[in-house]
Amino acid sequence: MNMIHLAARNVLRQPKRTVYTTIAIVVAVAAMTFMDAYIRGFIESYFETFIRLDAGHVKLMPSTSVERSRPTPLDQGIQHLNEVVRIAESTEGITDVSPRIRFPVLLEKETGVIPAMGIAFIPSREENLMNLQSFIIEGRMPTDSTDEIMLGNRLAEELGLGVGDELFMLASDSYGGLGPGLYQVVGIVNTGIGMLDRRQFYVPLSAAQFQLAMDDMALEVVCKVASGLNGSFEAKERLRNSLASAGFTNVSAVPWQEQGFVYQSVQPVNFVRGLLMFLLGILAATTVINTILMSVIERTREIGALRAMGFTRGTVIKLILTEAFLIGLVATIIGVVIGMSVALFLAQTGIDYTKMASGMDNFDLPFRLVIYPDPNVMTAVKSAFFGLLIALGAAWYPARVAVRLQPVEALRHN
Amino acid sequence: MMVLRLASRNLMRNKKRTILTATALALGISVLIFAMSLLDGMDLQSFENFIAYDMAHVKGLPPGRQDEDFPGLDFRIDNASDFISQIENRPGVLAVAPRLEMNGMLYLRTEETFIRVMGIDPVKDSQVFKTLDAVVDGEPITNGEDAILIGFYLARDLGIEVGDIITVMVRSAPGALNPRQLTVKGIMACGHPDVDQFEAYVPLSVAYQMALLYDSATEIDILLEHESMCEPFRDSLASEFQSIEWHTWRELAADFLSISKAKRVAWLIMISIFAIMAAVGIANTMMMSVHERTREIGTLRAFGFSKSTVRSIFLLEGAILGLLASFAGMIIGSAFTLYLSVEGISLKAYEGMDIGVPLSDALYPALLPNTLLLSLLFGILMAVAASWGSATRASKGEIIKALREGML
Amino acid sequence: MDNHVVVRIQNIEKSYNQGKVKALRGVDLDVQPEAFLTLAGPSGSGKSTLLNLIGALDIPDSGYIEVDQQTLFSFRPGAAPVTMAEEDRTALRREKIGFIFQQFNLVPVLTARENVELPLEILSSFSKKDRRERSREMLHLVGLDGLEDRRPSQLSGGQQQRVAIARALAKKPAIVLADEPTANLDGDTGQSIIELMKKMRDELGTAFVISTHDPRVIEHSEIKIRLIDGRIET
Repeated sequence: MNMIHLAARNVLRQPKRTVYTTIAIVVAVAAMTFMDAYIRGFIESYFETFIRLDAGHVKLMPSTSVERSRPTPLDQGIQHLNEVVRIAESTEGITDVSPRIRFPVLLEKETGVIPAMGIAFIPSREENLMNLQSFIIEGRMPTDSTDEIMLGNRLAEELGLGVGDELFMLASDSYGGLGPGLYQVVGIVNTGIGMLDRRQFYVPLSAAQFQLAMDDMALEVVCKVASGLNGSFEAKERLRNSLASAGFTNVSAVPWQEQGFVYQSVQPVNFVRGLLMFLLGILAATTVINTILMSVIERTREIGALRAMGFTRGTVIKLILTEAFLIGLVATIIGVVIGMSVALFLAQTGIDYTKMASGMDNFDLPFRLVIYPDPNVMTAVKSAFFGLLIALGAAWYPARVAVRLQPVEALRHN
Repeated sequence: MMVLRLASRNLMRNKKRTILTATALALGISVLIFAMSLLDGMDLQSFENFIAYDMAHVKGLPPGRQDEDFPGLDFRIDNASDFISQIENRPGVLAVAPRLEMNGMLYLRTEETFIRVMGIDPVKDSQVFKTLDAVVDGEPITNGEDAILIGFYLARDLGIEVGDIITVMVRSAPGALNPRQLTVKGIMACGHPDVDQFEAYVPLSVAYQMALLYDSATEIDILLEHESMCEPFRDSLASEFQSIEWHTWRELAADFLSISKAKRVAWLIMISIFAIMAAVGIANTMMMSVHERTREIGTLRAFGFSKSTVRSIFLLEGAILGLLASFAGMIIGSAFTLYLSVEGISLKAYEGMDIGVPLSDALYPALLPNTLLLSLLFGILMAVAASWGSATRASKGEIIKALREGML
Repeated sequence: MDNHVVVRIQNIEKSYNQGKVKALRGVDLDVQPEAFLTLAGPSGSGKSTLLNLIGALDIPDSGYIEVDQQTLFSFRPGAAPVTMAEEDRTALRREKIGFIFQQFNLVPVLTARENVELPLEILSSFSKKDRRERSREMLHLVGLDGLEDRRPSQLSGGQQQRVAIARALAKKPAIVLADEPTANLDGDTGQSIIELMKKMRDELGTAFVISTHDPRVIEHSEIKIRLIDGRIET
């Protein structure tokens, strides 16, 4: 009779207890699986929103702006914009390229001024980037080369403007003078992110270039990479090389991870995840230790007999660990399946926190409030490893106890 | 006595299991302590900053101003000095100061940014607020001079230095945009991110010229001898000066306070997940403990130990486990918290992000005695509750079966 | 004093599994003070059941049983049935009955002395000092001087059973019930244990009821009862 056979028999001898141990591991593994998918989903949506609305995968900006936390002054923008866009577009792995200008402007309303932020872009280039067309609640996107404007919904409310109205503004231009602009409101957008919807408006690049005296200039050029989130560093290198070989040494390519605080700010989340994992592990391990210790103590006499028959300490340890491994394996598979199923289901429906957060109207969160868990293969692999580690790690102590019982003493004891 | 001895010796007997079981709860307790201290520290520091740089104790606002996102000068208190002279000599009042706030743009060469321009009476304002004490470079402004004080981050981001001449444009009360050149006299760092990033201070006389107003204010700020006097004082002002809306700083910080409460709830939910996990661990260990000692339970019952005595043995075992875990958790949690309350938690990584607290630089957790007491109670109760089922089962088993088969 | 018995049992019947297994089919038995009585018989003959009934751990289906002049159970035709409440049975065991088990059943985390003191802890009549004195006296009587502070795991089987005897007798109960007290011990040790129990009976005057298969134990007994098929063999 081989070891696995013997271990399997022992495991099945006390079905109730085995089920109990299994449940503990299943719960831990399933929770771990779901948690991983949930946190991945949250972080990805947070990153995705940041990348989509601001950073791109890689952003080209004037080298002087890299260290700045405020918008670049208009006179320090990227010159020869059409050439830069062409170079970026022809760089390998870049799928979308869109130049933008962000400019601050005081918009006058009846009783005061609103510090607003204009985003000038080429609407047809933004379909796969900002993707604002999906968030329009009224009207449509401005079209290229017109004097049309789209407003954030809260800003529109504040200004008392709707589709069809006109908006006049004075913004300082790249020479420090005041550039007038008269725009026609064609759309209202609700991105779901309060601080944008209260402050931002969107105009075609050509109109802004004219108003701000920035012919063939932009403040930034946002690039999307075919290989996604993690392709940004590679793409940055390639963009830098192609820009440098064309003589654009004063334009820098910055991956999204190095823009602002978004990437670093998820570190506390990772810490909490680690802590929860540790606790889940301890909890499951306690149960496994308890049940296996109990079965070892109950089998003292039997283990004594095995030892008397000439089983070595190593063999006894192996036997106990094999039992734990068998339970752990079954439990891990069930746990992963449950955790993945729940995560995959919620990945379709999403978990909506909008209602919960409705009381905190003025608290601006830089992410959307519906979270879609995002399980992947690594999620399953990590959880499976975690489950087996708990089972084997926790069985180690009872296994040591089992061999410590001397054969004679074990036989005498009941 | 014997019950206590039995309980504690049984815990000692399975040291490893006891430690493992206690670890989960201890960890939960230490997280509880840290989280509570963090929130307490956040609140205390925030309150200080609110009062010192933004709200004072009681603030008078023109009606309707508070409801506007970006209120203009239409919302203002005229003849502010009349009100101030009527208020400043009242008992309990330390100081009263007017402020005139305008949204505008700041220009330096081709740099530009939004700012909130605050016209202040330097003498009076420094009696109410600590803003002028926070000047880290250059000097505070004085009455009547053509000078401006700007926030540290603003200065750093735009490369502004003391002595630079900048242009500030605001919309005057009649409605025209009104630019004005001013010399940067000082740079302030208060540790209140809004102030350090978006605000600039000019003497009230300059603000009047920019706004084309005289003796008007957008707020009247009052500092009292004691924080506790806020509400009655607000009430008396509200009945006397009905043309002005009077608010205590707590009312003005209502959004913040409700968010702070929501944060507490969120943390409590997370901690209760920890606690449930820890409780499951304890329940499991107690179950095993009862199972292992079935024969012993039978023996005790045969000798005439009552059901309640048997139950109390196991409940006490759970309670001691909870006590040990809570103590361990208190030590770990307090040590960690106290270390950070000296070192501070750097908030520099979040610069420029609205993290919902009026703090920059560093956050110092505050370990309050209540937190410790609460977590101790919480740990013990948790452990006793988790032991309840097993303890009851131990007391209810059939004695004969327990003795014969070692099974309940 | 002629009708003063420690245990009186009349026409006791007890069955298990809804009457399918009849453990006792009408047993009558009186146990006199200072009796040294053995219950013998094959397994399943009803020894343990009878011992459990005397020990107030269980109640019969019918018949009459009293221990130390307290009626535990009475169900006789023409009279109202009486069953002692559970708390009262617990109190009865606490004060009047001592137990000795086949597997000793000492509390492993307590020392020999603490094990002996354990049943005294729940008696209000014993102060801490009394308990200390009594346990020392009892351990001396069972011949364990010097081993008072050892844990059960540090004692041999015979020594453990001596502690158990001291524990059963510490409160000076009216009766001690021993369930196969020598079954887990080798021959000589068993012999010494049975001699010790008899000596304790002589010194303290406690009645002993011992269920056993051990012929040497039966040999020492003064009243030999043999149960077969739930009845006392006459």
